Amino acid sequence: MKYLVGNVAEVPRGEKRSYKIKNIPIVVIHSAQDQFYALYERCPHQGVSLGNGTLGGTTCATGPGAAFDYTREGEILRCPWHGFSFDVTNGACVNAESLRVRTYPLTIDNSQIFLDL
Amino acid sequence: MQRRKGDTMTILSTDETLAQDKQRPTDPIIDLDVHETFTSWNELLPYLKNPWRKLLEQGAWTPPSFPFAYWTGHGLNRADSHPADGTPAGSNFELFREQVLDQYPIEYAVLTGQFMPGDLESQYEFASALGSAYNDWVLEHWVARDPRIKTSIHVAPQDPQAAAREIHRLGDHPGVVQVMLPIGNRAYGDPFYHPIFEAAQQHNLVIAMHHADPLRSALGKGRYYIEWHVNVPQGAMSEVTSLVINGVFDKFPALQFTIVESGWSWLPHLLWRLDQNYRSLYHEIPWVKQLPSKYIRERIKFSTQPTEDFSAANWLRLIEMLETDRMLVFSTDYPHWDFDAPQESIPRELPDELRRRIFYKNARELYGKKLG
Ligand code: FES
Repeated sequence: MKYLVGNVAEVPRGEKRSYKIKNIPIVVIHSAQDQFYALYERCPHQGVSLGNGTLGGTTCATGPGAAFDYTREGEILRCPWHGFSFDVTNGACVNAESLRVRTYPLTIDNSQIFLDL
Repeated sequence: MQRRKGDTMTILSTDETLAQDKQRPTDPIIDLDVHETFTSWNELLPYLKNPWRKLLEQGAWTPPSFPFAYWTGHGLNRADSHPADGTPAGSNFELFREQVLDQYPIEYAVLTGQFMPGDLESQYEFASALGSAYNDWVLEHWVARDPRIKTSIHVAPQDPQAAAREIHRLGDHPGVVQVMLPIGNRAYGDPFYHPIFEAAQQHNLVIAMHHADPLRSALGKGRYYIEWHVNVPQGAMSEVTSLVINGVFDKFPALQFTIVESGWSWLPHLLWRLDQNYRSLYHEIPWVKQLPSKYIRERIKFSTQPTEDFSAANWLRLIEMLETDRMLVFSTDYPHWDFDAPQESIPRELPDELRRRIFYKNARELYGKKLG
């Protein structure tokens, strides 16, 4: 069943926005790569709203002293409390396999965002 | 609460997190660690006399700073704890009231500050003056605003006589429950610091210890923040050892202590190692009259935060090893990034009476009449 979330203009590229659809809190992410994702909005760790988290990327380096790289800008959502990192493309907690947030399929139709529940 | 076999971490299911909106803990809580602060050092000016006031006014002093960047994604503090007007996290009383006092059934919250006069490595008189000004500021701007708030006296332990004077000045204030000593580069069992304990005991105040920026591990500060942060309990272990070895508990028989924000899962090891060494080496410290573990069990409480996400079964195993349920007290550490939410950080599977001890009873007994 599809539910209207809002207009794409409400979530500019590189940003996120929280909604409540059928009483379920979700956060919609519009990635730097121009993709839309929807995640359950509560952190599976201590339950805070992920909508207050920080959207960014992740670091890469081979060891102390090596060059740092910063990749996947806009695809990693950091929890606002303890900073766990969630991959917005699949809900997985980076480096903590047992933690995951639910993802929901989204469709865009005529500039409107719809959530599949 | 959902726990998968083999997991060490509490995992909330979607339905459970949804239910949290309605479900709040109902038993009372005493929170032993709230880090309030001012919006700028200028807020202390009305509480400072000259020449100290002039030093601030003239910009003659630069506060010590922490050498690491924070990698949480939102800095030292919870991302949602930053006031909308851009002032520092922990500086807005109304936001604190909304996010902690009114969010959970907090009967009392004990302020622990962010500025610690003990962090100043020189000019001790200035450190003491800043501490006094800060204490007066907190009493007026925080403690006076809500009867649920109690606070710590901040002193400069590098000048124990001045610290004792400050404790005598404020020790009987109804909003004050303890003296705060930073865990950094001083071992407080040393008799040099005993005037502080003498004064605290006279006023029936608890001695609280909390790590501060100068803290180093046994090998130094480390190359990375995560290294420094993981090693924080080393400072707490060293302080506990120092108190025991120097005979503080017999010299000040009424004094109670708390170790705040160093966790506690390391405690069984320390108790066992201290006792084992004491049996062999007590000739070196004949003023220590009983097994170290007995002093520690009876006289020191440890705040649970930051909880380490281990299972309820492991909580119970560790508490069994401690041989008492009277040592743990709850704290949130608001507004810092490793904040512990009450319901989600203390496993719900723990027996009700143990949870009541952690959330409330142990702290209530610790502070006694000071809480009114
Ligand atoms: S509540 Fe999200 S990482 Fe802890």
